[in-house]
Amino acid sequence: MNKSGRNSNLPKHCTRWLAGVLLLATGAAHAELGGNFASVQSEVQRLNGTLRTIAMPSYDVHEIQMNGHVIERQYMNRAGQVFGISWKSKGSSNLQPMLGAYFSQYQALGPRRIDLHHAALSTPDLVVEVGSFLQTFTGRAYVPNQVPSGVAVSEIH
Amino acid sequence: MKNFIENLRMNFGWLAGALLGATLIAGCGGGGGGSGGTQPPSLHNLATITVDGDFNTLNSLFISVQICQHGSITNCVTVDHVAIDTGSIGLRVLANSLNSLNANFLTNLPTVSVTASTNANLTGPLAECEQFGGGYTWGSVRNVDITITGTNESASNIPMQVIGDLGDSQPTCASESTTGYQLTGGSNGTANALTNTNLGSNGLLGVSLFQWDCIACLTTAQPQEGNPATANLAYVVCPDMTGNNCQPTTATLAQQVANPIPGFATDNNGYIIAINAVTATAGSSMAVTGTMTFGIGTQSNNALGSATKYNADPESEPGVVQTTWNGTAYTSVFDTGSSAYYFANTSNPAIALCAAPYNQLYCPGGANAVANSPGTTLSLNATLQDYSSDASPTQSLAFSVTNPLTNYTGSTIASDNIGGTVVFNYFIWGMPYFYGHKTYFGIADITPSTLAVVTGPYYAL
Repeated sequence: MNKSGRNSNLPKHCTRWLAGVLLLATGAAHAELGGNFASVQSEVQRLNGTLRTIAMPSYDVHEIQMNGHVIERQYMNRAGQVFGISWKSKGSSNLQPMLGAYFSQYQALGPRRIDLHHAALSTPDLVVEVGSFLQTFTGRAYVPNQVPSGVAVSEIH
Repeated sequence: MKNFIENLRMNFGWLAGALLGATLIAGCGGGGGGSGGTQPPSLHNLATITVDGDFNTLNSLFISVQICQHGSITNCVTVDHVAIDTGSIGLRVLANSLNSLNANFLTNLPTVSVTASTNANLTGPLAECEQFGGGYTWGSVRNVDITITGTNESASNIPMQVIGDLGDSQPTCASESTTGYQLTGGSNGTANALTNTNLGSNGLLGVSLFQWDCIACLTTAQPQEGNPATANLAYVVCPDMTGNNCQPTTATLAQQVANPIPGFATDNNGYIIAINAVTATAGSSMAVTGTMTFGIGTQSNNALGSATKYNADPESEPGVVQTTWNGTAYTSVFDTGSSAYYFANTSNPAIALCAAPYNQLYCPGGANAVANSPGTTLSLNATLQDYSSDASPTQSLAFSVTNPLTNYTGSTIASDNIGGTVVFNYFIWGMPYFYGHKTYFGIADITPSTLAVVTGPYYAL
């Protein structure tokens, strides 16, 4: 028997973000676009993951690992604000808790479908890119005007 | 310029709203058939495949499939323009396309039935919610006999998904989708107008390196994924076949939407995709054809030969290999379901992106470049390895990326030089790679009774 499938033998390092989060009290800070360090810590706790912080010249990368796999990165500027987030998960990623206050904008505008496996929304205020292969889902989101000057968006990965 | 942009929008389905109207709704679904091409007698393992721009697509690879009610030789349809997707598993066909071919086909086609022995709570027809990066498919699961048109390759009693026969949406499936779009087609069996919900084909032939759709669904009604583990809708039982009152259920392997190739008699351990080269920078405005040959090492026409094999990850992240680009190793796949190369913009200087809202695509030379001027087409290289770099062969693969807004014409339907940044932490060898190449796909855990040379999962070039 092979090992493919939604769940199969993959490390359970993924996310169905929505369910776990909505059960929490409304207004609780979560790891989300526009969040802060408290929200990063709350996400680490929710995922029961481990946090590694990498200091870059003009921002910090808060990297959340599960079972040795990086499942989420949060990019925080010197104002303490999460300006970018990236993720990789087995199973489709619900974007609502990750996009936080930006989710309604994402929903209202709607991403463009690029091909069967990719879609993106690109506005001056919000960029969201999503893709999949064999039920692994990956993506990133960032707020262009909060990206520190001199930082290439390719650094959000 | 307007034409170019409209074309790009059209090709990528990048436009919500019916900009283009009926003239661009390609004729299709007329019964297809007969795309056998030339093949040696007695080797009926080779199908003709095409990139012809139908359904307003750029770089979509189509095949024709005959689908029969299991056990029947009369309740059959031949569905052309089924998109070959090496990044998913199983045959999924639009209900509207099936209905337009034969109004009685679905009526007479039984659904897979969930019985008390497989689900203690509910019995009835089985349906599925399947997620893709660009949207989701939703509809019933039905057993069929699948034959690749023009070949003798048949798989008997394989579940397929009928897309859209249970209504136009499923709230939970939609909420779990990264886009919320149900991928559908028009009521006449043709493509939707240019919307984000356009499937872009009559169906999908998912032929990844694996056989089964959802191993976890064997034991779990909604597979627990992630940590904290949360439930994901997959298979459901829908007692009244309306899409209402459906309940999550487990599904046995025999009930699951499956890659049909392992079900073939002998040519079942993989396949070879070979597509003619596209040489013009502007791509091709004519159909580009190729072949899909079934089996690897099972016939005289499908030997692995001198191709180099790259082992794919069997387990941790199934189907991936490794590509090193600009000094960084990325998880990587060969995916006919991706219309472009996708890779991180880590070049120095960075490759120019197209103007918003197309700024997930590369536009070397910038938006205002003169057509075909220097710098609008880049020659690039990346290095392929096994998923584990231990003792792996390596190969440098050349590819090019052009400025589609500048260099494509309004009728470009196939191109080997379009790239994008979406999925920045992978390197996706999408459809542009396949032109002018012969690519082997070794399916995991299938050992043909004769002449088996290697077992998958692997890609070989």
